[in-house]
Amino acid sequence: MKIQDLKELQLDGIKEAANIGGGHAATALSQMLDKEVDVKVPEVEIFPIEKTPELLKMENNIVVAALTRFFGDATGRNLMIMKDLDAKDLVNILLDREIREDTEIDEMGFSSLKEVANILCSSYLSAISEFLGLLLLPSVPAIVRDDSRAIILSTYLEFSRKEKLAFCVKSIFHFKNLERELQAYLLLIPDTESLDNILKAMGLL
Amino acid sequence: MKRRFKILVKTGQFKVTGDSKVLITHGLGSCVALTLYDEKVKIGGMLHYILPENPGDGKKANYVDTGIELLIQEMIRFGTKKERMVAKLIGGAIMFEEFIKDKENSIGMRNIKKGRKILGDLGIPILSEDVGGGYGRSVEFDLSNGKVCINSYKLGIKII
Repeated sequence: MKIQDLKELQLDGIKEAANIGGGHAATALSQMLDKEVDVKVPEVEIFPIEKTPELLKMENNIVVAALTRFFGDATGRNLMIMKDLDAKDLVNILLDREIREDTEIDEMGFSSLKEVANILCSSYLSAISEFLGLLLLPSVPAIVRDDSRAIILSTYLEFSRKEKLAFCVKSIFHFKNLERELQAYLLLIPDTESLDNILKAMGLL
Repeated sequence: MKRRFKILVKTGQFKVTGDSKVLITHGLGSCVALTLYDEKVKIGGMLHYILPENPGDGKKANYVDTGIELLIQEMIRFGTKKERMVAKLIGGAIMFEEFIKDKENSIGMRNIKKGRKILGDLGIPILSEDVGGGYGRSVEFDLSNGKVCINSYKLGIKII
């Protein structure tokens, strides 16, 4: 199955799987943080590869991003992205301390964000795995802080070099009941070769 | 300092200009910005390419092998001479180093190598480079003097 040939019904199916994954991940995060965490209905995004840097429109492009790869019956990547300021606030909540806006996130902070990404991605993938009856095994996440445009495009290129179209399912998590609502984006990027397996598991191929 | 006119070169695009303007591009990860400059007429161009080789049916400016032809044609149309062109290469990073075992074969490294080879074949000298590493870069190419200013969150500002 090629990305450009995906039908509405098949896209809806993939969205539904991501929706279930997102719901479970929100519950897991909510329990971990003891705060309300909501997730919106996911959106499917398909665009030419050179447009991917524009996928997240933000005024300041510094983000903290955690990349998880998954293996098994379907392969691909999960990318969790938080705006720099949101990531700092989340570290403060997790470690119960105060980093000011003008200071950098330290090693301990990155480590705790990595843990958030780990819980987010593994609960997301395990729910999808159960829903589809496919084995999906996540790796440990790798975390970086940099320009979102560089991160997103490189995430595509480094692992699938031939594609001219980029495909992802985007979920947005909202951390509520805080001084300021925080957001985290989660992109599900299945390898194109795995789309067939995912669609077959849902009886859509 | 006088406010300079800045022109954005998006991913998978190329632009040529002069008149002391500044060509800028953002968010270089594994992508590479290739700049060409003709000091005599102070005209230069930038290509922000994504991958080394065009499979044949891809958008030309996404790939260095086909993109550089477009860039050189445009440079010549602006009145520059190929013999006077000098190049700089910026970018080609590995954003998630933990996942990339074979660094030499990473997309960033392949982009850099292909860029160097093509410039070598064309006989265009590479004056300087700021490539590799594990961080993103933004670039400002000043057409008044051919200097390239690189900004990264990791290392701050560097001029080549």
